[in-house]
Amino acid sequence: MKSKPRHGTGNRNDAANKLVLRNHAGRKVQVLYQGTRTVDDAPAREAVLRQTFFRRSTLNRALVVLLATLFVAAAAWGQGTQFLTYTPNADPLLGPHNYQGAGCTACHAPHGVTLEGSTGYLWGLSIPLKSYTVYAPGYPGGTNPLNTSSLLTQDPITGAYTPNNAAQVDTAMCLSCHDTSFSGSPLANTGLSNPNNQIVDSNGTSLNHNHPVDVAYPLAGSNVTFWVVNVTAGVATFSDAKGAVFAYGHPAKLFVYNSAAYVECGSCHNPHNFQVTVVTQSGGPVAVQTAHFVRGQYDTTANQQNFCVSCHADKSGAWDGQGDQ
Amino acid sequence: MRKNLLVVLVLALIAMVSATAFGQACPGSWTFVQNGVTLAWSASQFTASGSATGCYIPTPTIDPTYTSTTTPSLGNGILTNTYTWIYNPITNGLVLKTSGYTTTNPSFGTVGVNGFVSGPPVNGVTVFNGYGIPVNGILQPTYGTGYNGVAVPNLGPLGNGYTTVYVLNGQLVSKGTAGAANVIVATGAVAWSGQAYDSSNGAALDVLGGHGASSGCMNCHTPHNSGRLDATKPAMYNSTLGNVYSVSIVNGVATGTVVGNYFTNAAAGPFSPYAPTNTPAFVWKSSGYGTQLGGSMNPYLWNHALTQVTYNTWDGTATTNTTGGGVSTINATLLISGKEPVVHTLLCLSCHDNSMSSHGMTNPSITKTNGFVTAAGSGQITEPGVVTGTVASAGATVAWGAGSLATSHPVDALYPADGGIAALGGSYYWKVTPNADGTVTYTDTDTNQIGDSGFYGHPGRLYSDGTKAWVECTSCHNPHRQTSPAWVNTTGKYTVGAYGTTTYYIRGPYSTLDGTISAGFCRSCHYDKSPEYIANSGASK
Repeated sequence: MKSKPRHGTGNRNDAANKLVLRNHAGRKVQVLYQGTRTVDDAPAREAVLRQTFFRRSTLNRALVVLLATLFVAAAAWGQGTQFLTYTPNADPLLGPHNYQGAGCTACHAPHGVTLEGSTGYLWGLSIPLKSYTVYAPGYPGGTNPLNTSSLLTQDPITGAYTPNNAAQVDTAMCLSCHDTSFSGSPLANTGLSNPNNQIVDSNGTSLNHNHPVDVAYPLAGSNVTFWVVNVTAGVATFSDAKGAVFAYGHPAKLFVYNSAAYVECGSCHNPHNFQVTVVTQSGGPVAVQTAHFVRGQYDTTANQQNFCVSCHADKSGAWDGQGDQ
Repeated sequence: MRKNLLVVLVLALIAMVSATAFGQACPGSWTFVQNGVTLAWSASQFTASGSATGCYIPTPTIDPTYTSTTTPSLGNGILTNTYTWIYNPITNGLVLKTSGYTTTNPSFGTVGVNGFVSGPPVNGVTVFNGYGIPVNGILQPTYGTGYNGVAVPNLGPLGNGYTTVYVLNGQLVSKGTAGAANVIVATGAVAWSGQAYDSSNGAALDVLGGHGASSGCMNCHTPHNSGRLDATKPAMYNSTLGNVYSVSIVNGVATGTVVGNYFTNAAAGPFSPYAPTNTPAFVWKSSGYGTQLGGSMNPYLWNHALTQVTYNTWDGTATTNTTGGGVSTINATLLISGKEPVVHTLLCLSCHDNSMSSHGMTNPSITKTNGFVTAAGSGQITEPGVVTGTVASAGATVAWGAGSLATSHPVDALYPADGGIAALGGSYYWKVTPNADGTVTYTDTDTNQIGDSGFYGHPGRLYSDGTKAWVECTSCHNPHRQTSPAWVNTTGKYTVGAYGTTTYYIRGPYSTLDGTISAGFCRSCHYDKSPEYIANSGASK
């Protein structure tokens, strides 16, 4: 039998021909397969493996250990876990959202929050109370303009606000900083020329040059061009109804309000994960590299379409045009 | 074969070195704003170290005796809109309850009810009566000073003034003599006048800090339960009623209308006898509370009354907490009914609810600059209990109203022992085991929250009712250790002094200058926000 280099769960022979590398916690991180030798029986396979991986000389053992270590590091690098290295005041997950070294408190407050309740996320920043026009051509059910003033109800005792719309708040919070025309923004007067800071246009009233936010995502049965989504118990779930699981997964998060699913800023961006995140792919969780706080696996140099088509089914190769994808 | 291995090895090493170097670009400069003063570091002050740590900024050199003498310019002008304010008789000031006013040419110091409007509140930022609370980065003139960017505490209800006030890390630790001109001395060389601590004993500051001011342990505990918590002496402070005003400010002239009332404590100090004017809803039990509280009629030999107020917690007025479990309101009756973990919140409210405080803890818990959280105070955590019924005469029964803890992290909230997931809307927590003795054990102890510096563990302390784990105030705060954290480690003993200092009595290492360290404490419970969650590819731990 001639074994071939391969990945994935192997059969009995594969198991005999591989070297499993594990990290300190015992987690499997890399599998090395014996590549080209012909193996006729178990003793021979054992002999080949010994020849391949465990030569008798001490020097070779050391080289193998070093090589294995480098492969482990390389595997970690590919998963994005290299970003977990700690440097003072450079948080591996928050990235620039670790603003001024404040960590979690750059956005959240353990006391004295500005938004109350479970939909308020212990928000510690002020929110601009004004109206924004949004880009929403052809997508009914959204809110245009988006008026953050109507979003919030003030608590007469604490002075803080309670969001009226559990979806819209996931856009409004972002504007605390990324509307740099807002005097309460920590980035005020810093970001008009910096696209990482400024999302709202220079007059501070328009979001319509951005991907639609606070727009309804068409639910199952109402569209043929998006992946099928069902809302159950306040949670929106991509169903992959046809059974052909989209291998990349559906990392985007839809926010539910009044049994409808909405696209908000937080649908594409996870503010807690700058360069590395965990997504579900092919039915299981996996750590992947990302960029720009994108919720899914994202490479700035290649295959950027994967994240987009994880919602826009009609732009994917898996689309069948029937609306049951 | 050996030659091939060597070639592969060399190539791999080159790749790794290149990849490491790729992430080493150091920033050209860095600034930090402290009390409105910008501190700058140039590129030459950055240190590029080895591949393991990359660039870092040297420890900022902040003058420990830094005192701002800047008098803010409040401008001249007019407030034009109508807003609702609550008059706080403790601070004799006003709290803004709405936002969005016109800020053109504000004129402060001449506007307001009873002459007390001291700063330009913006978008819900609370303003008090000029007691050293920075407003929008501007220190107020009356007590205008600070320390390391932390607000100087409010002097509280006895606001007639003190000759000297000593402050350490924003904590009021000692007062001088009342009645003279007010002078704030913000210094690291704090003199102590308390009974329990020698002023030369600097180490004591690292332990109790402001919680030990004046009376040491007796600030909170009593060695002899001499009737203070006796059921025949109702555990309630002498309370008075404060007014809730609706204030209109037009062209710089304010008029107010009383729209409601709320309770506030008048005077009672830690050793003052009670003079109840209302029938208490709760007194300490005359018999034991159960195993977790040692069967004591006065758990922890507590030296204060318990609050009578029912508080809305984080999830507001909902009848059930649908996201984190737990309860939406808490009050002392929960303790009577046997829910013992809640005592670890109720005791804190003896002081940190300004309707009960005997220490003038009325400054806000958070100070913001342009909406950005810049400093934490030491005092008020709650909003006052509002009287919803008819106001009765002194001595008559008055229903206590609801206060609010809704602006704080959930307390008396269920911690999901299984790590949560679906029940918490997708959030993941470290798994725990609630024990019968009131303790809670984390399943996984390998949490290297600060890089690879070791087994940081889980400094957050959860409380068990025997079957479930609960988050209380003291889950995050250890009232006995202001700057030197200590927590149970994997050996069953305590980690003390490792991984850095803390602040705000937080149970684990915490830095206001290094977000990774401060986030590490949060992540010791919030697993799905931690590097370990990534490293374990989202597997529950």
